[in-house]
Amino acid sequence: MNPNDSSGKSEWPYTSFLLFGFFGSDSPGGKTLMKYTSLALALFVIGAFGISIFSGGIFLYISSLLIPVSILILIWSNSEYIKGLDTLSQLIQLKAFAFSYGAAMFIGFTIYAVYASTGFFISPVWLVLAEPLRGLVLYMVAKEYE
Amino acid sequence: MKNRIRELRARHRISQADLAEKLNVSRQTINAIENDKYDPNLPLAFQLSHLFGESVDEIFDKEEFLTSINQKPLK
Repeated sequence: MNPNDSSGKSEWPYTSFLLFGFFGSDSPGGKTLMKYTSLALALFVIGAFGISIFSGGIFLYISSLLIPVSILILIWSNSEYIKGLDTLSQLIQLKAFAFSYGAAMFIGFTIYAVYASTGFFISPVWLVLAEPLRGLVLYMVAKEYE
Repeated sequence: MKNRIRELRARHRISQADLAEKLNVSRQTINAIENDKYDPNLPLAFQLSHLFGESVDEIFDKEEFLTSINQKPLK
């Protein structure tokens, strides 16, 4: 026990923020989130692969369905994870989510505007850029509370 | 809000990590509160008060805060 263990420094799990976008898998909540995120990612990849190889029929529909299902799993698992955090960690996570939500809206509507005005198709898969941005915002917001 | 948590921790010989564990929060949260970067919510303030055996008013410097926002009590 060291009662003087603070000289004002506090390390947030910055590597985990940047790589995974959350506080790490040390806690039970973090482990559960990691498990469901891996499941969602696997379903997303299988769905995307299925869409690219099937040109029609039931397997194309199933593959197409896997994409939104994987996102729903991400939404549910992240909301459950946030419930288990303390209030400061919740604040930091929610600020990062709010920013990446805005970024996703920006990317999505920019893609739409470019398509509507020029006919040039840009894949909505670029929305995924909001995720690494979330990790970066987590990093920057956590720095405010160091 | 300025507070005496670091002083109280030292008096009770308890580390940030141990205090965080007792309060079920992260060590970084305790550090942020001590450094006046984050104000705890009411339940956490009451928990701190209970643990250290001092009132919330004695732990947190409400006078400086109220002066800074220039708020007068209702008549």
